[in-house]
Amino acid sequence: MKSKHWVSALSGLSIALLTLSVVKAADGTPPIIPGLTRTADGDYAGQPGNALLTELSCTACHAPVLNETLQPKKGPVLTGLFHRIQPAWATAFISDPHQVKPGTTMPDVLGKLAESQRAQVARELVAFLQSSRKPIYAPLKEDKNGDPGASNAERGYELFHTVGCVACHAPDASEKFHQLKKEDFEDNGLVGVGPVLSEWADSVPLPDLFEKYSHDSLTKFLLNPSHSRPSGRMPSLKLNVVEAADVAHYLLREKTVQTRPSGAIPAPELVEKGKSHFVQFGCVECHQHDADFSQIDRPAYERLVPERFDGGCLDVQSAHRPVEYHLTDAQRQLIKSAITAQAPETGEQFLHRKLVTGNCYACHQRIWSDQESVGGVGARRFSYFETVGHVDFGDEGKIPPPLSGVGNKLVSTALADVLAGKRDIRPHMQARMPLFGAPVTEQLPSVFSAVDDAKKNQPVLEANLPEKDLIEAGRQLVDKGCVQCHAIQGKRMTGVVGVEMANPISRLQPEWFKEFLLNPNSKRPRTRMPNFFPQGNASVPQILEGNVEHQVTAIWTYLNHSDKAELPDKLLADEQQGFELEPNESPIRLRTFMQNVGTRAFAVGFPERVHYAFDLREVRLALAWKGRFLDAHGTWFDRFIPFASPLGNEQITLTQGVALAQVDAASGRWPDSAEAAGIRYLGYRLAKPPNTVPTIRYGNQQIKVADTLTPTETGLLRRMEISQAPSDAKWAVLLASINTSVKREGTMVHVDDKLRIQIKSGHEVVVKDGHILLILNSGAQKVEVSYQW
Amino acid sequence: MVKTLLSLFLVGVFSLPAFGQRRENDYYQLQTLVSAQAKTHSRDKRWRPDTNEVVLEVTGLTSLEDGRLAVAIRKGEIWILSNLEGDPKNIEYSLFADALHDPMGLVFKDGTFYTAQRAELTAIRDTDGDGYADEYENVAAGWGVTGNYHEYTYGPKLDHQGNFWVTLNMGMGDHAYNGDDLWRGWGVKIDQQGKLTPVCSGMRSPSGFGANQQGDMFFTDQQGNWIATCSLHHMREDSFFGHPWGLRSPHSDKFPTSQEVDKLSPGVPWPAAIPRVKNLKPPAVWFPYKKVGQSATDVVLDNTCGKFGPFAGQLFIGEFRLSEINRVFLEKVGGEYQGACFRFRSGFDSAVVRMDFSADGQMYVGLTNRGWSSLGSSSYGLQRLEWTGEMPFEIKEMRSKPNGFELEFTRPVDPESAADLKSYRMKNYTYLLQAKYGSPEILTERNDITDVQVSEDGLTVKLTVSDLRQGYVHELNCINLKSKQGDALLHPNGYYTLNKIPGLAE
Repeated sequence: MKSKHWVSALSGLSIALLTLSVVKAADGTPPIIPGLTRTADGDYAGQPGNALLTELSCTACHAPVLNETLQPKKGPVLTGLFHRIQPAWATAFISDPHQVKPGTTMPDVLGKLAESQRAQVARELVAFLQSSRKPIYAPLKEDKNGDPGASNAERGYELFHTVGCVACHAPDASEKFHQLKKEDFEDNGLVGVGPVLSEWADSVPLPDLFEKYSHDSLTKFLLNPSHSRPSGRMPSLKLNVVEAADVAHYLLREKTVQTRPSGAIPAPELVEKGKSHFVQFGCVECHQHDADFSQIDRPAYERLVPERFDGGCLDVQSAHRPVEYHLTDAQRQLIKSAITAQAPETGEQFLHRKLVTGNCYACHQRIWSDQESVGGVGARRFSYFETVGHVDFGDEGKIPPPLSGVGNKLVSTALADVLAGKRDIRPHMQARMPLFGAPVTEQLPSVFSAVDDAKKNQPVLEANLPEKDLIEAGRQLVDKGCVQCHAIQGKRMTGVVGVEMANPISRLQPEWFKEFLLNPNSKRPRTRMPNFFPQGNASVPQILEGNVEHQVTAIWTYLNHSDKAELPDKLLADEQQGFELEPNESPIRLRTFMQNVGTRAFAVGFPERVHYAFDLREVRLALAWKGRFLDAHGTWFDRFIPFASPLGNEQITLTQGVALAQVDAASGRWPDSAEAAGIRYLGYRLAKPPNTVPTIRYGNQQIKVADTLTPTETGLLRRMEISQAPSDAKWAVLLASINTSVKREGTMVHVDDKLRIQIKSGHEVVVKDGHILLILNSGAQKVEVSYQW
Repeated sequence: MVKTLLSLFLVGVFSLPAFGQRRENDYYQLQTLVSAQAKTHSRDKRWRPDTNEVVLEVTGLTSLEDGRLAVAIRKGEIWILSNLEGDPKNIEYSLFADALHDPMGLVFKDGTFYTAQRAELTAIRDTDGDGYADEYENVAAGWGVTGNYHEYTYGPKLDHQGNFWVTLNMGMGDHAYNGDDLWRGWGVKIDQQGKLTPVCSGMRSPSGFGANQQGDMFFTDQQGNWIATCSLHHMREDSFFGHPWGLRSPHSDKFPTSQEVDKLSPGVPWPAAIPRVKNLKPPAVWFPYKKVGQSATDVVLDNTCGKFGPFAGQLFIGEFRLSEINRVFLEKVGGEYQGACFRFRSGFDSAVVRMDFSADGQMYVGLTNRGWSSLGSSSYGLQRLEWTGEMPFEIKEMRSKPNGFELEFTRPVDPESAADLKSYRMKNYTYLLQAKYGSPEILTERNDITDVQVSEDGLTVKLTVSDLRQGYVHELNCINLKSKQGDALLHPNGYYTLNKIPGLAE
């Protein structure tokens, strides 16, 4: 385990294994079993070698002497390969698996053949595989999520890097991940830091997927990996059909490949030979295939005993190893010691091996004891785990929960549900709990339970009080604290994303619940959950006389009855909340974030039901609309402050540029920002209550404008007081921007067939650069225009 | 011997009723002026934004010389409260200003209020004297606001030169810099002419800050990515505090590049990180997680000259989640501030966000916990903390010495327990500078207390401590120490951030 770095001296074996990921075996990349590399510097369960025996599928051919539970991983189903894998790739892979997919756990079974012979055998094997044309996957169909044919590589990239794929696989080559060097991590003086030591997990290798798959076949595989890979090691990330198509599209490097020319029908004699090879070379021991092999003799395989090391797969001296894995010395040594020991695994060892082989440790930390901790998201991969919407939830909102003591926390049916892909209670987490195949998960609930010594028949939380009193007290307690962060019955306060609390009895052991409430830190170190019972005392002493036992029982009882009981007050109130701003007597102002106005929006609503919004950053009269004004919920209450939008109708965009600038005669351009125009928002003044009409002030050292908009029956009247426009340059104010058309008619300007602007102050108006500009005279003056729409 | 026994016996008999189980409330009494429980709830169905209900979700607080109190609230209003002395029922509320975008502080200077809105430092005036502001002036703007909720803009507060300071919260979620989050993660200074100068960088969530007695500015940061645990930093030029996202704003070469800091993302112990990162400054005080708060907020100087008790000149630090106030003692060692933190007063009705002292030495405490959660029974409110005049038994100061620490107490210690080595325990630890959220305490080691010297007046105790480690937090627990009257320390722990050991060669 990682922490052993500092707890105890490294064994020679561990040191050797540490280098496994970087030191190539003499003639090829050694097989990568990431769960094992991650923990290779420790040997908690004593026999991590057993994980090699299963993950390299040694036990598919060779029976273990003692250990009945060493189920081999085995390889993919090869029935219907025709529809899934490109024959050229299959041929190349069979000929030299370690070259085509470095790090593969597939052994080279043809290595002992001469080169020419090897190519021939590979062709014959592929001919046999190509002859089976029974599809194992149903055709892809468009569903409510959309059409898998319309996939999008960018979305695929995003999914691949957020839902959990990169927990095991390497991120995209363009990602910073690849620049982080192991030396940088080792260089940081972290010896002695134990569990936070940066682990250096290997990535599960991928071959050249474009050469191997079609878009269609990769999509089908991603939708249901264990259908073709019954080992369950590659889990489903619960992608829907469109998401799977997106990820496939990304993985195929954005080349859209729907179909490929299918290989020719292979000659029957090649097929027959291939079928025979399939048995002779041991393929049949690992790969399911629906052909009938009963007429072909199967070779006999030795049992796993030390006496047979010489001359076998592990014999480095022999040039004729039956199969070639390109094992490192350390791996070979580990396998040998596992075979030599042949001791039955303890529950802990078994559990540890299951977590290694499922690579559960890629996401989950498990603290086995004070000094031994395994797994968790490492520093290199950390940034790929995020909270939905980037809510500040700490690492608890990003990183899958630890598995320490989980057998004492969850009731085993709940754990079984999670492993069966149900009960996703962390919708705020971008990473998804994958759905592994049964070989990985089927024994986990009972083993967790046994290893963590889950108390059977735990005492239920009880208090000698009427249930209805407990429920009401619990409701009040939940209202005081829990609802600030947690949902209940799917109801949550605005912005709250914490774990659903309802019906904990279906999920949590009562004792764990109690201990967690009394001291959250004891179950999750450094959790953000506050201790509501500081020093064991009730922080709300007026409920149930501050009796801590009774309060915990009340919370438990209420949460388990929350489907029938009333919601906590805060949630009730939240449901009935309304924040619409309705100007009744006076104008209402709101500074907010606003769509199409920006992050410095100043919205003004009038009782006459005409309103406008000014962009103070760009000094721009942005929008005007009629009817209802605005909802302030986003501004005043929603933690995530969504941008406000006008509630009313007849919305028009008035201008797309700064309100005041010098007219550049040479270019005829209107500056594209307030900064370029040298204009800044100075502030605003209010008229006397109750008619608190604001006057917005902007300008610079030379010229200042006081801009007042008031409602009229048909729109807005705009009055601008200009202080001392300089005489040495021509200044103008922007009245409106044009999208489609502009038409002059006396003092009236028609814009886009929607807006009419009447120039009341007799100023000259020009159309320039898509804007309608009012040219200022020199000196102080008043401008008056009316907007009608 | 007999005499000693007898005196011990007497102490036991006479002091226990008086001093047994002393609580914070015996010395610092809390009065609720406004509490969500007492008034209408901010989420009550009856509450509407256009009613006259004052929802005191306090984000800014400044007490005026005439005894009134100005309060900025999250809804974007400034209220002036008067008649605060008597029954809270009789408090009068007057709306002064409105339509402010998340004001996060409040200062009153020369007849003008100043508050930092999301995108602007604003001056607010009532020019016609009707009690309702009619002028809102843009003092300074220009920092980035992308629309991310976590980009709070805190302040302002004034330094002794009359500059306004504003701190700019980092947005949530690592996103590439595109110019829209300019100066996020920075502390900026705005002079009287409105000129904005970015001063220091590396902040994550600097929700509170303030000047100490010398006029130097200190801010608190909150545990999170790159921030190991809550901290108190001295804001000064060219200093970098550890969070690298702000370094994507253009800056001088006095600061490290964000790439340089990113390299440390897997984690480096702070003492090892300091020499590796240009101008990386350790906090003057670390607040060990959950031992002294877990979400530090406001920084307020005790400028009451003793009206608020024995801690004049020290800093009080608000705490959000645990609804309490902690205390900081600072000293300068080797030209830099460092010091110790202590718990001070718990039990507020909601998250402590803002504090300010009244002219008569009472502390107003503004509360709101919206969006997060906190202990206490309310979601917002206003409380007042008052010293009863009775002297609590506390570690007033914890000063570092070349070979240990010198403790100064608020009341004389019991010489016997004070001279006993077994009355004290000490350990030290540090934190990781890492991209992950927070850090555990790491590399923990025990310190032996090898000698104790008690001063004649019983107010000072000198501890000789073995194996002091520079760059580590030294956690002291005075487990068995008694005062002369026989009571235990109200808060027996002190946490000293020993960035420098006095007298130790560089």
